[in-house]
Amino acid sequence: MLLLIGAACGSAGSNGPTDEPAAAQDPIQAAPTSQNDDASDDTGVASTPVLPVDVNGELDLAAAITELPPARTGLPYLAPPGPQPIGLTIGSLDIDTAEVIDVGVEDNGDMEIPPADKVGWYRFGTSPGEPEGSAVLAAHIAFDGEDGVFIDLDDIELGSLITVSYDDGSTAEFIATAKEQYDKDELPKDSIFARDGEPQLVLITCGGDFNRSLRSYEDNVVVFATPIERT
Amino acid sequence: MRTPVPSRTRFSLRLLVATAVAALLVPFLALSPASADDGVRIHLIHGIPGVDVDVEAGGANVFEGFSFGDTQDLSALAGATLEGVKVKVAGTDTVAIDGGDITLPAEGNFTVIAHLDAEGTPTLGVFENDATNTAAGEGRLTVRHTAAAPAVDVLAADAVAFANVTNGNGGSLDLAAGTISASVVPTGETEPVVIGPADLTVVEGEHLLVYAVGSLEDGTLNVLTETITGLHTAPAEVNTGNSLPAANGLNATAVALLGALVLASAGGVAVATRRVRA
Repeated sequence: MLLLIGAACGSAGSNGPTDEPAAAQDPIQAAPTSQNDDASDDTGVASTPVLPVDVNGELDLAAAITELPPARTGLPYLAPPGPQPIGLTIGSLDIDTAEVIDVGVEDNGDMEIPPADKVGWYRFGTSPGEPEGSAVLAAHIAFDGEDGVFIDLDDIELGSLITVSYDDGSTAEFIATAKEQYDKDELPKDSIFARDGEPQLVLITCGGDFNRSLRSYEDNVVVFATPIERT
Repeated sequence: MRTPVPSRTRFSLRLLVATAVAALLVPFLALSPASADDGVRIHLIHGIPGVDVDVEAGGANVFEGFSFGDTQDLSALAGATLEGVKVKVAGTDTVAIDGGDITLPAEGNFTVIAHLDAEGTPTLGVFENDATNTAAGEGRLTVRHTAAAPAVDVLAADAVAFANVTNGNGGSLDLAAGTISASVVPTGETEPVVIGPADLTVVEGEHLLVYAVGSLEDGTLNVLTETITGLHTAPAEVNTGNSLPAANGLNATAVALLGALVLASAGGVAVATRRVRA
C-alpha cells in the first residue's frame, strides 16, 4: 500500500509536523478562493499583475501561461555540493593560504565562526567565485587572546588582491572594492547573505569598541570584493 | 499489515517496489526552481503517469500534449476565473477531468496537480505552499499523497515523520539542512517499504515538495518533486572576536601584566624620588 514519498524528519527541526491542508479535495470546483475575500470579483485585484487579454478583451490564456521545465521525477533527491573553498590569501595583509572551513549557524542563530587561526565560509550561501550571489568568509579579529586571521582586516587597502583556493585545485581572484564598518545591529545582512544578484565576496570580522564585560565588539568590519578571474 | 493482503495487492506491491527501484535510477532533470520573490506563484503539474492530456478552457485548448511531470506557470492568471476547464485525453474529446469554472487564487503560493484520487480517478488537487522564510540553517520539506493508494506513514531515520497520510493530504516540516533517508510504509506498519528508503537533500532556505503519484495497483507509483527557493534567513549576528588582539598589548592578560608593570615602575619612581629627596 502506500505511497508517498519520502521524507522527513529529522533531527533538528523547528516546527512539528503540521497537517497540511490540502485545499481542495473536491476536485476542481474547489479552487482555492477561500483566503481572498475579493478573489471573486471581476475587477482584478490590485496586488496582482494585470491579466492578459486579447484584442476582443477576452482572457488570453495562451499568452498568460508559461511552460516550465518538468518536475523532477523519482528519488533520491540530492543537491550536489558545489566547489568547496579551502584557502584564503591576501598578500597585503600577510594572510597566506589561511585554512578555510565550511560553517553554518549556531543554535542561537548566529553565524558559526571557526577557531582564531581559520576562516569560516558560510556554506548555506554562495561559494566564492560562483556566478551569482554573495559569498561570505568570516574570521576572528581575536579570540581568547589569540590573534585571529582577520586581525588586520581593517587595514586592507582597496584594490588589494584576494585569492580563494578550492578543493578541486582551482582558484578565484577578487579585488577589494569597499570597506565598511557597521554597528552589529545594522549589518546589511540581506545583501551580504544574498543568494542571487551580482557576484561578490564579503569578508567579515569584528571592530569598533570592545565591550570588556560582554567580551564583544560593537561593530563588524566588512570588506566587499569583486571577482576578476576564475582559473 | 493489519489486514490480509489480497493476492492482487501483493502483486502490485512487487511492481511498486520495482517502480521505486526504477525511480532511484532516474537521473535528475534540470529544473529551474520557482522564486519566492513574486507575490503570487501558481504552478500546475501533471501528476498522472502514462496519460498525455490536452487542457481546455473557455472552449479551446490552452495547451496540448501535457504529459507526466510537465509543469505550467499559471501565476499570470492569479485571480482569474477559467471557465469550462476540461482535462482531456490528448488528441481526443474524452474528458478525464471536468473542472468546471476554476477561480485561481489572487495571491499566495499554490500548486495545482492533476493526480489520481485514492480510487484511481483523475482529479485536480490544489495545495497551498508555505513560502514563509525558514530559519537560518534550515530548509522545509513537504510530502503529499496524490497517488491511488491507501494511507501511509512517512518514516525518516526509522521514526514516523508523517503519520496516516491519506490521498489529498500531506505534511510539512522545517528541518536542519542536510540529507535524510526516508521511506514510506503502510500506516501503522514498518513494512513493506513501498517507496525508498531514499535520500533527500533538504537545502537551506529552500522548500522541497515531494508528491507521491501514480497507482499502487497499476504499479505506476512514482515521485515528483518541486522546489521553492529564496526562503533563507541570514544568520542573526557575526560575532568574530571576544578579546582584543594580543599584538596591541591590550588583551586581558596583557592588560593585567601591563597594569602591574605600570604600577611597579610608578612605585619604583616614587621610591626613587623619595630617596632623592631624602
